[in-house]
Amino acid sequence: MINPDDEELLYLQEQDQQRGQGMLRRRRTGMEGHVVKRGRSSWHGTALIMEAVMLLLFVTISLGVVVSLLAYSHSLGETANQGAYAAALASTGARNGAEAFSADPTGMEETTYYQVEEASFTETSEYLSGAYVVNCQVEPEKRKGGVLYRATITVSRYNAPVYTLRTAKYVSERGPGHGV
Amino acid sequence: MAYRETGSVRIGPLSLFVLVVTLCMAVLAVLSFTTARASSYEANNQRDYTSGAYANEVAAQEFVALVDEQLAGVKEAGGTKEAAMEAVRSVSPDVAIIEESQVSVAFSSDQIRRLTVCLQVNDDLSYTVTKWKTSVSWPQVEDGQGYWPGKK
Repeated sequence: MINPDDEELLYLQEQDQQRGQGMLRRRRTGMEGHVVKRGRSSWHGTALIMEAVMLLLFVTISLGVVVSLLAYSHSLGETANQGAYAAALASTGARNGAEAFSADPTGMEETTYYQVEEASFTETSEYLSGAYVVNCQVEPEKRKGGVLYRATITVSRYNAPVYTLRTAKYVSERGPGHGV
Repeated sequence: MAYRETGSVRIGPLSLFVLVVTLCMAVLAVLSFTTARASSYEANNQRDYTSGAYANEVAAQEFVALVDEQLAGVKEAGGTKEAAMEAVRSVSPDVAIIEESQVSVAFSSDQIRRLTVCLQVNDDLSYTVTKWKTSVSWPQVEDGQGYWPGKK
């Protein structure tokens, strides 16, 4: 026969046991959860760093290639423009160009200076940096019926020759009605 | 609550944005490069054209000087117009066309640019330029090859 007091005591002990096991279970589950959570967090951190490093590497290489291509394109375009301007100056643009020489081979100015403004040429000072320098060297060659003038027109920029044009003009001694 | 196991690295919005920006820049760079190459090709063409045109001019002027020299020599020696034409024929290139007192020569530094010169030998053994004409005969361009065919 169990005393009701003892019965209550047993019930309370059972409750305590169950509570204790529950607490233990909860604690264990919590600990396991914590272990799993910490493992996932570490993996995510590594992945993030790897992704960031790869992204940085990709961006750096891509920007390097793109900037190099842009710089090369700029240089190529600049050289092309310079060559086109030099050819235009040597033929028709300059006061001592080929067409001026053809009109009057004896009255050529030796050196002239030009700058390009909005794709048109304006004469400028020799002290302007980046000016196109047009140099015309005329060599007369005496022939039996007249004089054959040969001209070498050199356009240079920053002390470097950009374009050279050779032309000639024959002037007959038998008056202006002859020759070209 | 259970954690969902994915096991893969997903691309983030920032990465996607960077990728798109890089792609756009790459496209711009390629366009810029193509434009620069086209400009360079055109500039080279212009330079070649100018050099070729004046090379023809030099050759023609030298020919005129030679003709005048021959005419002056024949006149000095008291020769006739026939003798003068014979002297002119002797200094003319093979491609020259000589008809009566007219000499016609076409100078071409390449197959594209041509300078045609006609000289009339006068009775007083002087000469007159009757034609000084520059012409260009462009080669046949195939379809799809416009100003810049994409090669240097």
